[in-house]
Amino acid sequence: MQQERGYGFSAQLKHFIVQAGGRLIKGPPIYYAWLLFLLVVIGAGMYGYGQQFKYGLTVTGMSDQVSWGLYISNFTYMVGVAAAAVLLIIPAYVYDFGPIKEITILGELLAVCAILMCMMFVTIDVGRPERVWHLMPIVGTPNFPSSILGWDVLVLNGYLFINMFVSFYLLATIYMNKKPNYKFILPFIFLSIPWAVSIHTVTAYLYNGLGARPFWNSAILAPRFLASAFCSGPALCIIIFQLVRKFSSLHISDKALFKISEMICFAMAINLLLLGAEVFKELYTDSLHKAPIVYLFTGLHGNNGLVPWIWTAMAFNITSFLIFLVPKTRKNFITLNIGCVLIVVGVWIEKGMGLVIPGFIPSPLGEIWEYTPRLYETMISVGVLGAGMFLYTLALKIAIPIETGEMKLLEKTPAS
Amino acid sequence: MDRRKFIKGAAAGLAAIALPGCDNEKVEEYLQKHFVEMNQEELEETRERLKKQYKEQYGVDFKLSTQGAIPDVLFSYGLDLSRCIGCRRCVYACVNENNQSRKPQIQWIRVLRMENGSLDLEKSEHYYEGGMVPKEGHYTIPIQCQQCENPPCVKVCPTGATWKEPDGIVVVDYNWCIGCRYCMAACPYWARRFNFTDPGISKDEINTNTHYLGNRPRMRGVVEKCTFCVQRTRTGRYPACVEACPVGARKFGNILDPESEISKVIETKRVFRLKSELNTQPKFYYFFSI
Amino acid sequence: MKYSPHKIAGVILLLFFCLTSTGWASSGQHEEEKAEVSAEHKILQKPKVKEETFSVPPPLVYQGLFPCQACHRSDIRGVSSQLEKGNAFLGKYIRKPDPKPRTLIKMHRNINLKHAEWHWCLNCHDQDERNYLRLITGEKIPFEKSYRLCGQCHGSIYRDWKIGIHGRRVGNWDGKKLYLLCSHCHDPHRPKFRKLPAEGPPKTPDYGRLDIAGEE
Repeated sequence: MQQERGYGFSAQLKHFIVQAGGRLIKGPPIYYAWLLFLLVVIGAGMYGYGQQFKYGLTVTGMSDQVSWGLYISNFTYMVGVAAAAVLLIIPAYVYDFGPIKEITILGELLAVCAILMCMMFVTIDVGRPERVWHLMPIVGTPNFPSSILGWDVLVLNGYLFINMFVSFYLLATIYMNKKPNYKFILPFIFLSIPWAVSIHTVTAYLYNGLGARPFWNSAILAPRFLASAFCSGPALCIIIFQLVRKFSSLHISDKALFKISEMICFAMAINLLLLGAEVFKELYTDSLHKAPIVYLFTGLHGNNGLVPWIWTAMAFNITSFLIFLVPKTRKNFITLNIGCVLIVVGVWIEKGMGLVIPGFIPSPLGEIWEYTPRLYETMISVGVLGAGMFLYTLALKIAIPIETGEMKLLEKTPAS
Repeated sequence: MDRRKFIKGAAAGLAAIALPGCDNEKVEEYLQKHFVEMNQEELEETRERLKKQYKEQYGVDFKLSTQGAIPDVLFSYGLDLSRCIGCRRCVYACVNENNQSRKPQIQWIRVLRMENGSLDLEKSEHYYEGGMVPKEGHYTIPIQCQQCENPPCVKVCPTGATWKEPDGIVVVDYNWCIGCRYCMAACPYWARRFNFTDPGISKDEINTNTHYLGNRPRMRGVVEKCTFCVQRTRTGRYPACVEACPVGARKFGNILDPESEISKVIETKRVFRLKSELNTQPKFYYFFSI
Repeated sequence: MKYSPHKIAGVILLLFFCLTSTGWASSGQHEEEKAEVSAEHKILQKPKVKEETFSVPPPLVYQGLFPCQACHRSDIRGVSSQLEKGNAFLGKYIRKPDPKPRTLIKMHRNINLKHAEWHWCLNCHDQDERNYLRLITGEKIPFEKSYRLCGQCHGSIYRDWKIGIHGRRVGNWDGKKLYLLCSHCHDPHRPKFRKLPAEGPPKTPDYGRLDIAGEE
């Protein structure tokens, strides 16, 4: 239904900004409390970054031996979360499963925020962030196609663009009371499916291609990344969507949530299978390359910093797998939520610290120097996570009213 | 007027407007090109700017060379494991020659002490104390950048800030490196070091005879490593570690010259290279002469 | 019984050649034999192969006791300058050099031979001309060519040293090779290197980390 009001584009935009601004500023008390909490966290992160800016990366626990730490672990995890948004798209668009369609936009916005968090993590991790333009084409000299980091920059930016484009297009059409032109947008949506797989595969190849690090140099790494991403991302989505339907009038059916949880069950099964395959190969072959896995699970020569972490992650993963396996626990919201939290934390440990750090221990010359994140490093990481959640909250505060129809082009006074 | 100049000019203009009082030299440094893309004039400008900067920083006059590779030269290194006693004089000679940070400490050469009977690096001792060497039942193996012919670090660098020169030396342009440390993850010999903070080196310790790609003072946030003393070898001299070794365990030369010491080593001794299954083709040959 | 003149001429020529060649051969051989005979005496003095030369800095012994023949004259043993000063006491000890291996008690007591201990001084130092060293063939070589002496037993090291694999180098990889004599690094009487004190270990990565937030 076309609106004949004679609004020019700039007037429409102004209208949108006014409405959106109103939505962002007004909200229930819990909204303010949440944003305030996030602002405190972000503030702490900025203070930590100030220290890092002043003294350099020496404020972190990284060393020549373990040259990537908490920042890159978080980066890896967040790429997985971003890739998982596609898991929601596949059933919605490929199988035309109705209940999920309405929440795909929320998943895509999550992917956008996750990619922005990834970019923030990389920017704070490099030694000279002001020189990042050196790896851009035209102005810089990117080592393309040889360097996988160059590919990663390309695919992450492409994924960011696709998700932003698709979600903004859909939201804009709904906002303007128009029907989305699926002929136009569907190719982009379908493109985002292999693209999501590719961002996480390329991130896996970052580690995989290094012959110097036998712990990562296993063919199974990219499938492991994908499997763990496809259980942690949707688990996060389930938690988020429950919050969304509690705090807004957006209807998200239980059926949608249970469908997602079924997919998580499969993904976690594959994740555990692949992990088992890795452990078998290293321990049975019993070559010297088993050192990183032995360090991770049992400690090596008295160094056992990661042992409690990985066993916690194993416990979390297996417990949540069982929760998701059994239909009774999968369909009970208490156990479902516990399972989701366990997966999010478990996969974070296994994929973050449990993957990045053991790759460096022992060093290529056999030295064991352990890594512990230090105070400012942790503050900065938490700050970035907070910033991502902050952006996502703001995005949802605008997107949900658009989807529910509360916020429309002609509406002059926004309802709370 | 090419697009680089345009961008440079535009950016400089913007910077000049946006940052009043900002050092023109800082802007020049920020917008500097990649070393291999600079023409002769830009090279000269960069050299002068850097020399001025180092003079301000350290209070002494610097020599900064940008000398290219000598034609028909491919450097190679030989290390006689029968002779090395693990005295570490090479490590400290390198530190002095190449202006490595004293605090925090950066050492490009790492000397490993191993028990006789195996080359298992996991059993190596890195931090053995000074004491009388050699220790019975052990041998020592010093490891530094192997200047690979198929270097994994060059392969993974996203900006191309590290590359292999025609004479075989793998170099880093410290003004182009963004400090992502991907090369450090990729190096199988743990040869690269990172400046986690500003290098701590005093003007009494500094060596003013420098090369742009070698031992000039670095800044925080960039990666550095052994460059076969490019400031020395391109003028015909031995690297500092070769001269420092008291027992003559280190051999260096042009492998394309059949009369050089290193060619003779490869011809007459049973040489091996570390981690050869990774196909990095290092130019660092280890051998036993007795 | 018909002998053609060609055949006769041929036989005569053949005989002639045989005689002359024998004569040549024998004369040559004779000369060779003569040369050999006289060469036998010379073999001890001069090697058959062309001698290799290397540019080396002066041997360290030049900074010490050289020239040995200031004291060790070939006809007497002992301190000749004492005689010249008219020391009657030492004059009693004027004798020929004693080739019997023994521990020295009057002079050179600080030289403790820990090298090929079945030898003694005069196996390597020439008995008659003390300014020279002595090869196993009896040939005298100056101290600048002491590598030939060491090379007699340490052949593989000598071979490596000649092509630049053994020993220290300073200076230029593409310049003129400067060789050090064996004795520049190895004390010839006690050649095994003493242990050296090693320099300090590398600092662990937490060294020099700024003490921020009370952590170091």
